[in-house]
Amino acid sequence: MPNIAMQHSLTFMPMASGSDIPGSAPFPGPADRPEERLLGLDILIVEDETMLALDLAFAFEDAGAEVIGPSHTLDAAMALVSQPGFRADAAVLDVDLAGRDVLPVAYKLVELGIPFVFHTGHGDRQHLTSLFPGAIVCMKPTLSDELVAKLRKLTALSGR
Amino acid sequence: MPDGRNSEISGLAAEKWSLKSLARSSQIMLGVLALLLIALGATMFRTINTQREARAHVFVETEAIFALGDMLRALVDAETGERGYLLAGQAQYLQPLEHARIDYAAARRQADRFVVHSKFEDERFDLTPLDRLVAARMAVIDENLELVRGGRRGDAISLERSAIGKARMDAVRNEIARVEGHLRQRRLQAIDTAQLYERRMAPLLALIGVAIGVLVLIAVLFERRHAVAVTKAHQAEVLRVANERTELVARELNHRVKNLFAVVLSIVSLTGRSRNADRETMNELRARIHALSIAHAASQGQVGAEQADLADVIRRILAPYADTASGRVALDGPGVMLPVRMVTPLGLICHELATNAVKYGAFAASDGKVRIAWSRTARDDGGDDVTLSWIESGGPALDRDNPTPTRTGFGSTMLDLAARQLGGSIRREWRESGVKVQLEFPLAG
Repeated sequence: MPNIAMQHSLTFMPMASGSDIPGSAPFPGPADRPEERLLGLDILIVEDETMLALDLAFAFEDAGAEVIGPSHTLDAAMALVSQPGFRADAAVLDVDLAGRDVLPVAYKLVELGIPFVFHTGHGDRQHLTSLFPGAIVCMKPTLSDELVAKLRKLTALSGR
Repeated sequence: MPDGRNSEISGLAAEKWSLKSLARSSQIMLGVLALLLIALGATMFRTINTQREARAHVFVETEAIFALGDMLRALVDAETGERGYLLAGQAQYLQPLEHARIDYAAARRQADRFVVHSKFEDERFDLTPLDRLVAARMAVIDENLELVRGGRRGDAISLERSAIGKARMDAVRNEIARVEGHLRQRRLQAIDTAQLYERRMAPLLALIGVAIGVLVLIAVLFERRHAVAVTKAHQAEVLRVANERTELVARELNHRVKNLFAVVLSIVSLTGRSRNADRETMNELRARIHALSIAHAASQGQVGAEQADLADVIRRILAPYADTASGRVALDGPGVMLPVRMVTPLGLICHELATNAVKYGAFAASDGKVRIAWSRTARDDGGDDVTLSWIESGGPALDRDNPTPTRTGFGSTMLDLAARQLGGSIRREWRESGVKVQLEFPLAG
């Protein structure tokens, strides 16, 4: 599978922005079984709210994915993604990790060509999209179904 | 800062005083004052000079008049001596005459100094005519003396009686009076000139006094305006800082609320999982909580706004289902600002209706549509009554067996409760084309 990420080193490649995935949660596609929506994908979760992290992990596993992590702190996440040979199909990144921001992890994932979704309660979408053009930003709270759908679109676009 | 008004908010902290920073009126006043001071200086200079000149004139005239007087007196002495000698015939009476000649010479020299060679050029008077007249008089006296010395007393007396001497003396007196008159005139002129400049000084001084007064007033006003402007700027700055801080706090709070909603949703999910609750129940629960969080987002506008836009709330709640761009949802109504406390019940109502539409109504069919329209009518007490209608069309046909499927269950209860919380009422009507819901509630004035 062509690794599109390698061609644009620091530009984030998924072309779709979060706002134009219409009707994601309540309108599943026709040949779409909920338990297969993320089948065979490895998803990294970085989230400092442990409850939320666990809930997401369950939701992704319900959809057939393998969860990497969750990492609750910036240091843990950096350690994880910096391991040689680290790979994943997609990631969900909480922007605010107990006062520190997740951007170093995001840059690392761009380097590795791993697509991701930002998950944040802050209204500062513009700051993120200026650093990562085309990045998908989900505003908290987001129903886990919606995140699953977004991850599916993301991984489909990047050819996984 | 040509005009004090502009200084209001702009940074006044590091102002440097300079001529340019004064108000235009102050600049003009300072210029006028400077001119007046120069005029005053010039006038004072002239006054002092002319007064000095006047004094000099007086001095010269006095000396001149003394000299002329001495000359006259010397002549009179000479006359007296001559008459005495004429009458008595004794040599001792010639003494005064000799003294008189000496005195006259001295006085004439003084007169030379102060009249002929006066330091005031235009006051120099030629005494040659006077000299001639005096010489003529002295000639008569000398003739008399000769006659008496020659023993011809009789002829001398006749000469005396002929009054030629007297006439010539009168001529001398007249000439002296003429010179004195001329000198006096010059003196009076000098004094007049001095007085002129002196008189000019008084109004000038008055003007300067007024100008100074006005300048002081302007300075005071200027200072006051400046002080007011500085205070205003300071206050504006304090306000700005306070507003910034408040906005920061509000943003932090919003962030925490959103996080809290996320945590609540996770707890609900996890609890449901651990208890093996059925999926339907969990989804319904989470959907409603999520609707609340979306409605909350609609109410977090500006700091202290305490209001939310009705259209905004509806749009946000319906966004996951369809947006106005896709044409499945149409919103139509005037701008209505709701108090924040109404956002939750309204959000729940919209969410409930939308969920029902997904399950049984317009959103269950691929081309079903929902039209939401609202209007406001004024009440007597200044407030408005809002009427909102939700009309579905293009949905699946009504199930004959179950024409009002959503009439039971907690959803229905919730609609009534929410409407009551709004202080209004909700009515649902199932028609062939689709359900029509009418919500009415009052807004305070």
